[in-house]
Amino acid sequence: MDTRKIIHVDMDAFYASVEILDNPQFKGQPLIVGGSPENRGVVAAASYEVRKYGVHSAMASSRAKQLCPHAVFIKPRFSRYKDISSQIHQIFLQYTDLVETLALDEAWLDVTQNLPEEPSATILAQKIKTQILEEVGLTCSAGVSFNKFLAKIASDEKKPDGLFVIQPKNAVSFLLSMEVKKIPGVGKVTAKHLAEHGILVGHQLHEKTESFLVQHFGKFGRVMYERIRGIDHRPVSPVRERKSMSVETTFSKDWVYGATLLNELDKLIENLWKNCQKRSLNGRTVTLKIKFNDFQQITRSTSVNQAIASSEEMFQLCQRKLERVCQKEYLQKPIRLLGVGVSNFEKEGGQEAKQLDFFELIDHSDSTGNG
Amino acid sequence: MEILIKKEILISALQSIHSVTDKSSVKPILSNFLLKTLDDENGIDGKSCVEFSATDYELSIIGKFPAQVIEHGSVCISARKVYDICREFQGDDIFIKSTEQLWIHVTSGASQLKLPSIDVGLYPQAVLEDLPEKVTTTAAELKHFIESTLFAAQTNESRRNLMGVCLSVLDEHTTRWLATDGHRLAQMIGTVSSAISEKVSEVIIPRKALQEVSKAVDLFKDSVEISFDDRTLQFVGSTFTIKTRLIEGKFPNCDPIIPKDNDLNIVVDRDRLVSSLKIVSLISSEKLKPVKVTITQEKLILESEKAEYGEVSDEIEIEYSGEEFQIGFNAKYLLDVLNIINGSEIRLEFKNAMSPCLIKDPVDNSFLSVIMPLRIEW
Repeated sequence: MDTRKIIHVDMDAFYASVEILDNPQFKGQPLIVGGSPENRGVVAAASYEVRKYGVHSAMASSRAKQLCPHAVFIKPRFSRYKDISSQIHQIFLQYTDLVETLALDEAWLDVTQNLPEEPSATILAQKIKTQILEEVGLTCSAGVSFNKFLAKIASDEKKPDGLFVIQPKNAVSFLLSMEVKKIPGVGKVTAKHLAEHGILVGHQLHEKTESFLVQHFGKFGRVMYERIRGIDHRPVSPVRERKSMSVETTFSKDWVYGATLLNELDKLIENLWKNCQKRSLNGRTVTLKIKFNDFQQITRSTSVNQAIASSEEMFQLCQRKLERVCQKEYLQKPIRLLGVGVSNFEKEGGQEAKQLDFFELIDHSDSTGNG
Repeated sequence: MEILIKKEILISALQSIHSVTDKSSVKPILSNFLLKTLDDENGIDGKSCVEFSATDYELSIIGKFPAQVIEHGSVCISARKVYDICREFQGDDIFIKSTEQLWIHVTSGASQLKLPSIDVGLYPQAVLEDLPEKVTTTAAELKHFIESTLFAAQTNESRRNLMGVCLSVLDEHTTRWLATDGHRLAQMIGTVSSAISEKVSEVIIPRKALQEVSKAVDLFKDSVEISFDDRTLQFVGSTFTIKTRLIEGKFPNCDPIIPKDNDLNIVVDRDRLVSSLKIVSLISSEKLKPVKVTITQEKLILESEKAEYGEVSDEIEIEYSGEEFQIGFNAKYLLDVLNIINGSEIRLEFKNAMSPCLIKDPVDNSFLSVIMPLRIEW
């Protein structure tokens, strides 16, 4: 295998940083995101100011309060973190399609081939960091190396707001001096077990034979044997399938229902259809997004039993919804933005036929919101 | 304990409990079975006999089999070992004797075998219960009810409450057996000798128990009493009993699914349709076995759809004068139903290509099946 270029991006104290982003008054304060200390809550995230006191995630909130009595506790808002996370994910996708999400705040990117056609992964990592800071307002730490394991270890090296590169020629010497508990997968129990065999630092692990490690640690012994030699062949696989695909456009002038609006809808759908075809995505649900001139935003979805077969079918489904919205629900209200999305994709290599089900209701869910 | 048993009886007894003992279960003790002697009073036709029983907590099987009891007692042994070994014995009679140190001596002709056994007290014994609700029917009828519906029960775990057949007591002599996997449904209205339900009128019997009942139907001999409460159900025959835990949850109300106003109706020769569907399903390697059905003036046309190995089409004469329409099906679903209906003709009632199709015997109303179409791109 040719040398790969992998970046591991790890957001710095993600939940806490998002809270500070949204509530700047928390800046510089010891902030704990998690359950309340009174109600047996646990710490979901801790800002760097509070980490100094020994507070870490998964610790009981009451214990955290003991360690840092003046810490500010706030409840986590996961939907907000999810939103930010997907915003960051969208940034990643501008660099490569090979993005593997580990958690809301962590991802691997395989940039061996990348969209900006930048040969240096280090420059790419810097660009990604900068773009996340500029567009989202959060810092992250990036690790660059030639496999997932080393990239992940590297991202941890210069936290927060760090960038660390482990080049192939430096990998082994780096690993030999590293504490073995930094190897992902080595938790408390394995670390203790390793220590019992006198293995605390990389070179001590490196000395052991593969059979010794397998004998004492099973399958994971073999993994450690490879990792300490800088070997990790796992591919970066975008495990999360794409759930939806959408396009939208903001008009230079507001429109009410009529030929122009329908023409815009047609253009959007042609575009969306092409994007879906390119990726062989066959959706069963189409969602129309409408933002009116007063910024009120609504969506209307409709689903069919089997993947929408043509852009014409998609247009008809959307037109029906749009007509209803414009001529019944929001009579002639001027529209400033129109978007169309497809979701509910059929499995790859989609079935030629679909077995209908008694209990499967055709979903015609509508939702209204302000945005 | 000391008994003399015919080899063929021992083998058939072990086969009857095989599905319970045959598992590399997390609980190794469950691969054993309990063998105990019964005195004349509890025996078969007033004669002492042996009882084989096995349980995996979900399902318990208890059967009495004739044997010559020399000394009363009970043992607990590995079902697999005894079965494998005894099958190899050449003699017709097998002599089984336990010793105090938990050894079992098995002898047949000149072959002698010593096997370790397990303390009987460690084995979870299946106990028959007196359950309030009771349905009595013949073994043959019971098998018919089960086979008419079980094929439509769900096999995967996505909807657990569909993984069995729903038995309802409708009145003193009528039961309803109903199963569906969401794609098809089968309903049997079964007339029984008696049906008493006081509190619980509907239960979901797990697939596995029904498969065992169906397999072991000969062991039930004539009459079977089905007794149950809201947790447990027993099929009790004179010498053979299967007890099962019921599936918890509620069976969906299927009445709205059964079409009442399908007005495009045809009657087809059963055998003709079966052979035609078999050809279609043979040619299609796909899981869905898509078959395209066109109903037109006096003709039913079956065509394979995007089959792997070739193309096939077939025409069957029918009496039909309504409008022409097309509908897709999974050929296997149709075949499953046609296998249940014994009559020479089949009645199919349609509404349109997206609505459920009702299938029944034109002269017997006890059974019906509903199949959802397959949406095929024509």
